[in-house]
Amino acid sequence: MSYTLRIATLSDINFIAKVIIEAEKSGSDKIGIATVFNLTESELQNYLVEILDEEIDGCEFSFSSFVIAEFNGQPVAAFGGWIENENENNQPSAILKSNLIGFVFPKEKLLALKKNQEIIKDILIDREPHTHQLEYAYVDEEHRGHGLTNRIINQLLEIAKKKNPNLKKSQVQVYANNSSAIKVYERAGYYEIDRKESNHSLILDYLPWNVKLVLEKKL
Amino acid sequence: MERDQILEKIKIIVVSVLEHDDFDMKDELVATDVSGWDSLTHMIIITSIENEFKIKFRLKELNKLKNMGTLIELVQSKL
Repeated sequence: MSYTLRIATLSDINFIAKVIIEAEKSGSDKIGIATVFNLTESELQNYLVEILDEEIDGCEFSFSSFVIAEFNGQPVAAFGGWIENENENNQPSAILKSNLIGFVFPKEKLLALKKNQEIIKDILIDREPHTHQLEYAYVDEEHRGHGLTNRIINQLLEIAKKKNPNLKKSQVQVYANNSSAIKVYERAGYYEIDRKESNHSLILDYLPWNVKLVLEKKL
Repeated sequence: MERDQILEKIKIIVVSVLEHDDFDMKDELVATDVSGWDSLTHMIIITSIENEFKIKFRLKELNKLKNMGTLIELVQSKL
């Protein structure tokens, strides 16, 4: 099968919103962003399209972070990558993401976060400034097994190295139960450097798993 | 509203959200210096400031904020 890789454009935002939702599920039926903010999947899809449409670069909610794989002219896979803190205002991606959510989600949904943040906070992992960060990988089911994730990672790293030739590390955060994703990352040269665990009794009602790993590849 | 009053109101919000006052409320203060000021609490702090002062930030304004000093100035400019 022949695939074409390209950088995402504004016309891909519906597909990228789907990518984010599927990747958030991480093989479970829990969409972290939806459960924490008390949103349905279709509400989240609509808000994500609005967020991506804001065209803010430098985080996992930036369409410009994504490389898309196409088959017969249709997007079938995507993965995002950016250099942490190296954006227009040198902001951490977590702050850009927070600002986008706070700006687009209705106020009453943000109130749900006040209640739920205690449940998920132990599993949040800060991203290291000036490292390459990967987030939100997805491949349509019928196109799995063709090494698309690995090809997209290589392309994302090539793009990042052009932006910053001194880049030393690429990192990816993944739930510890997502063994198929971990295998793909390990084959691409990533290995575990850190992990965070939450023992909150409700964590599995909100997130796909209670242990998150950071994998790293030296560049 | 005086700058000091804005600063004091913001401090009350930050302390209430983070449940501690283990930070120095100076202009140079940045989120990464404050324990517990993460992506989730950031969202709650910003929303609470909008509610308190009855203002609405623009996305570009939020993304340009460098530290507490620039946040206070942004709030002041909207009152």
